[in-house]
Amino acid sequence: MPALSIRNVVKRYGAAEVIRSLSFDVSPGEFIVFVGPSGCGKSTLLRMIAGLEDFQAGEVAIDGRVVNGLAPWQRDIAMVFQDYALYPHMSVAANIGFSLKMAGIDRKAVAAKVDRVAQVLQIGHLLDRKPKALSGGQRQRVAIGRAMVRDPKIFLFDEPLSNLDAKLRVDMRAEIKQLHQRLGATMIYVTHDQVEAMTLADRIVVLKEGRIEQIGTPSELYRAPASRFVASFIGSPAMNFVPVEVADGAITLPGGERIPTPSAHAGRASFGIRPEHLSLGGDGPALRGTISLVEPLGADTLVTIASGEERVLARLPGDVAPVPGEVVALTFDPGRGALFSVEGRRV
Amino acid sequence: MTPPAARRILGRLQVAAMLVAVLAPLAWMVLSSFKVSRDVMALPPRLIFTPTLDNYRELFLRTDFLHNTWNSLVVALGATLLGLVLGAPAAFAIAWHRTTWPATLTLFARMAPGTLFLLPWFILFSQVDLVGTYTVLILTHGAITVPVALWTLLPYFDALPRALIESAQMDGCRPHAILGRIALPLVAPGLVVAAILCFVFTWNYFLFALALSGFDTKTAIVASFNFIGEGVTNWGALMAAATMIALPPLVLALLVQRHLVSGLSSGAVKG
Ligand SMILES: Nc1ncnc2c1ncn2[C@@H]1O[C@H](COP(=O)(O)OP(=O)(O)OP(=O)(O)O)[C@@H](O)[C@H]1O
Ligand SMILES: [Mg+2]
Repeated sequence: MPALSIRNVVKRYGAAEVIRSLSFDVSPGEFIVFVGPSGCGKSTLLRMIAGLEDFQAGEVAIDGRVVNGLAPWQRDIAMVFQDYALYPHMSVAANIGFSLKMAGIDRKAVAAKVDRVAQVLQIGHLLDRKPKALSGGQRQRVAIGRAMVRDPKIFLFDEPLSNLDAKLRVDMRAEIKQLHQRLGATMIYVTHDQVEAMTLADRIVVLKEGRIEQIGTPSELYRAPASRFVASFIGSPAMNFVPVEVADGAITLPGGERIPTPSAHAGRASFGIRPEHLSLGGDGPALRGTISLVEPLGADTLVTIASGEERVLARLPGDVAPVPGEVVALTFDPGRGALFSVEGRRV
Repeated sequence: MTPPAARRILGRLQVAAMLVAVLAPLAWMVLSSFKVSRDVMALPPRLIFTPTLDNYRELFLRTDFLHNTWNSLVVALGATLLGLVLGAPAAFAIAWHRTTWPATLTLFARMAPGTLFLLPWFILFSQVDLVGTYTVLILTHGAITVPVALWTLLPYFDALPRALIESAQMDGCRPHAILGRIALPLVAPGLVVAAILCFVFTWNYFLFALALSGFDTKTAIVASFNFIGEGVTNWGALMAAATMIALPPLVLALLVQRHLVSGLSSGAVKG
């Protein structure tokens, strides 16, 4: 039985359809990440699962039980909010133990559970403080602790790391992942950071304008994006797209070079190739141009070449030192490329 | 453009003018309460006089003023409590659902002249034999306190982050628990402001108390009018009563003036 099952749900605000008949299942223990650009409906969908938002059609079922119309407190779900939403007038311990207290669990048992959670999250020394006296990262831990202590059926996270600085974000990301491995709980996580999505998810749900663009494991999305949108969204730096002509099983690159393709598509198309799949001075077909920008990152060097209007970015080993102005050929394995129709579908 | 110095002086003058306008009657009242009746009416008013406590002696020893004050206190506290008990949940609900028409409705009720309600209420409460009781005074004064409490608290509840309320829902709180455990503690400064405003408004309200109180439940403000007789008015005693009546709101306002000012102007409870 799926831990969570979403069936043809539709959410409208007035005339605007924000979630458009969307369905998917989540297996028990799965870590699902919703990604997509701002305004695509990630938070709305999450809040519908939580019971914080009603909707016009469809069904949400948790552990096989339809929860449409049930209030949030009847769903046995915990949620970590973007700005933590800690109760400012309660101590950290009271914040974490609040849901247990509400459930009528006796004081001693609450204290024991709070202590255990605090130990896992390494916030034992903060239990007597008020949220005001905590750093961003500490607040985040308390918010997670508040969700953990209940042992809920599903954890929901709405961009929980977006208020943290870059370094802390990476640390907390790893901690959330470890937490998932340790608890084995079903988790749904909203982010618009594709790195977070890739590193955390068992499966990623890519949303666009209230629809599911693609669902799959991070590597499926990376290797076989169903659309140009997904291709450009997953992977960093983003995939390059060059305009090509396709005819009779061959792609004609901007330079005139022809490479074979299994695609039956004919006419104009976009050829996508990831920066990390381009190399300098190898064999095979190539994209040619003048180096316009070199960005050394240490381990890698990002090199941008320009050819007319087109820009192509390559991620090259850090030990190569190309010079701007140089004319180069960036070669690739044609099997790594992806072809997209003008409408953005994979062809 | 006025030069800054001139503008500053102008500003000071404005403040001074306002202070005179507000404080002069108060000072006159307080001073008069220590004068013998002859001096009260003297023209021009005498600033230098022999102070006397006669008026207060008369007030407390020869009339029921102490009991009337007790009545005022019972009614004002009762009505304040009623206003908060009804107004706070209403304000919370209105802020949460972002529907303002119920609040506007109470405002209309508040703006309407009290005489409009007086007759129907008198008839209504006469029929259930409640006229002259504390109950009727507290209930009718609720018509004043509920809108005051509601409108004072509205911005405080509005300023509560929605995620906080939603978080409480996720944590298993039903609405009354959210109100009691999350929302009310966080708007505590607003509750103080609302309570004081409610208290002051009902403490000073004359009309309902005049018509609906009985001999035993007469409030201080109604009783003080006994000093206005036909032809002769005991000005000194009246001023002593007025001073006593003005005292509690004044003390309350002073005690919490910082809350009051920030509360009335912003209503923010962040942090
Ligand atoms: N209360 C509302 N009334 C009307 N429209 C709304 C409301 N809440 C959200 N929307 C719209 O619904 C759409 C989806 O919003 P949602 O908050 O789910 O986006 P999101 O994917 O979480 O974006 P972000 O990454 O910026 O958080 C947006 O276009 C938004 O404008
Ligand atoms: Mg969002």
